Amino acid sequence: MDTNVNVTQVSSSIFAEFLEVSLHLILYNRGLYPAGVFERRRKYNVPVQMCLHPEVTGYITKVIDSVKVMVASGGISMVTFVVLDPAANPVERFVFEMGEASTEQSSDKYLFRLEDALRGFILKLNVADSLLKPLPPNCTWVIHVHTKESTADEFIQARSFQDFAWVPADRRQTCMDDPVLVPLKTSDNPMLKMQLYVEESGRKCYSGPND
Amino acid sequence: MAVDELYLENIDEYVKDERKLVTYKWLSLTLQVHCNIAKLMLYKYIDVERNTKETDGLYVTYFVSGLSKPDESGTKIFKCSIVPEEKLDGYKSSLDVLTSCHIYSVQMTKLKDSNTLYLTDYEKFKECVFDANKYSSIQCKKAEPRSEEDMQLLSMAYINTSEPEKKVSVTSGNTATKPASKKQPQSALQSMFSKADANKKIKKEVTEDKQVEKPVTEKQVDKDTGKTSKKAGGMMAFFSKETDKKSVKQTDKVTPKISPKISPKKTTMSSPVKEEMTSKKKAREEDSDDEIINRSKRRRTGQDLFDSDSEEDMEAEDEEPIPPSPPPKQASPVIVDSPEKVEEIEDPIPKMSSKTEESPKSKNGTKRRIKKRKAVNKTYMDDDGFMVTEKVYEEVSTDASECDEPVKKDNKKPTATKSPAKGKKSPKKTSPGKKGQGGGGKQTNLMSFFTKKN
Repeated sequence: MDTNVNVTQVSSSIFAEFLEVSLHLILYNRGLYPAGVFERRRKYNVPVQMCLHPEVTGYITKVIDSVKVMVASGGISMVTFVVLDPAANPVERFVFEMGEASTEQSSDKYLFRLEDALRGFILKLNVADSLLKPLPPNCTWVIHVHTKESTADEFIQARSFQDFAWVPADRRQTCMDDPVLVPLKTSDNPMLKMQLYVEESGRKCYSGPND
Repeated sequence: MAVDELYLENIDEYVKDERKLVTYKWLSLTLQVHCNIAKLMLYKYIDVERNTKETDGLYVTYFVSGLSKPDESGTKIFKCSIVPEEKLDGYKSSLDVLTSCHIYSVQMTKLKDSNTLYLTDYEKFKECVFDANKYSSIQCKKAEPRSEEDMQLLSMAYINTSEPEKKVSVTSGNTATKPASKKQPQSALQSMFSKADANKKIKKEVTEDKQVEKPVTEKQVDKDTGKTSKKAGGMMAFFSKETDKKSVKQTDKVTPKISPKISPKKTTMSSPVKEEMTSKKKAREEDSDDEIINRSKRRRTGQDLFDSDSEEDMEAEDEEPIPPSPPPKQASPVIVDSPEKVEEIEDPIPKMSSKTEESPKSKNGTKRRIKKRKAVNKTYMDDDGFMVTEKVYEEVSTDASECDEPVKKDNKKPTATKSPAKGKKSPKKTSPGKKGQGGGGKQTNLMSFFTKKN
């Protein structure tokens, strides 16, 4: 039993860590913030970009902390990074879909395979730019966590993140017009089963040339 | 030309359909062509694209190297840079002497930084680590990978120098070495045995021959143990750096697996030998009824035994007076005392006994045996303290009807036992005691130094 508990805790930490790196990378690659506020760091033995703005990093850290708790409780199906256009309509959605955690014993004792897989995700996020149409200017972003009602309720009851309130997402933000799916990467690693894809709104292409 | 056009289509597919970032390194490793050819292909691709289409949406980065213009102090610097296409001419003009300029990468998006270039190459490099420099034009002819024989010789040399204690136990225990010498060639053969089906029959014969000849060749083989162990089959030998050294000692444990047919001969030979041997043989005789199938099954167990370090401890105990109540793990040498305990000892041995019960059936029905090869990634700490990941083909031989589960356990066992055993070893070699002392000494010196000053 102990080992199982450890595995879920470890895998939730790994996922949280990866999510943090990914969020920074998406912010950089999609040009949501100017490139000047980013700095090159090393993660998974490859260079990645990290935002240096204290409020952005603080916000991301809080998101990550609470996502970690929810993932550890096992109630999360997916985490999405939603890019909203100035009218608050979703135009792009980066989806980190979690698979069911397996209890099977991994042969990847030192997590080398897992690191390879995560590096693969990072690479795909880096080149996702070429697969997506350019964003309209002045976009904003939000993080959505898809979870069970019970998990959300427990999380709110726990009051461990009182200064950082999660609210049910606006339906307007969750529904995308004419979405196109762009698959990026899948990992079958027993520690972390995950697939990453982007949903792109068909309306974005209209707004692009106009702007 | 035809090939070239095919390649150009390939590049077009990578860049435009798959939207990949294509660097010349990536291309040369993917298409398995020399990197200079890859550069040429990229050049040709861009040439064709630029000439035939007005807006191709391609972004190109160039590699430029050369001597920079002398700065204020008059020194020239040799610079190697990756430059986007639009800055190419400007950068070239900043160089005094241009030594090299070629396409580095082609992609559909404007690169924000060089991270992605590095990532792409890194991923490809990880995919084919051993072929990574195969297509490079930078070669060192004198650098040749060591042959397998060399590696075995080296590993033997390493064992000899690094583990003198074990040697002592081997040399002092004459009783142990004699049966060991008998078994040594067999263990090598066993490993071969499990590898190739084609060699099977031949080697069976050989093993039988050797068993018959044992009384005669015993002493000679004894001297040659080192050499014979080197002859272990390619793959297994490669992984059995560890087992090589251990096998010498552990062989007396393996001896029980020799067919009972020859056991009378052996007892005569081992008459000067201590009681251990005879008692083991008793146990063995109880265990085994049939040679061939049992042998092959035991072979696995034998290999497993080789892997565990606890065996060595047990050996050491064998030679010393046996403590009244040895802990359960170290119980295997207890075979010596009582055949009853054999069942308790470890998994392999109960399996043996269970298989011996079946043996009359399995003797006739060899069809029932299933062999599987599994590719398993094993990561472990090697002797030098490096983490090594290797793709190991584990051969699993099972009976079709049962034994599926036990054999699986059997396979897992070595991995489980290995790591702690090696964990034990590494600190031995690094000699933490000395380090600790050194560190402590430094600190005290420093502290004393300061106190004096103060």
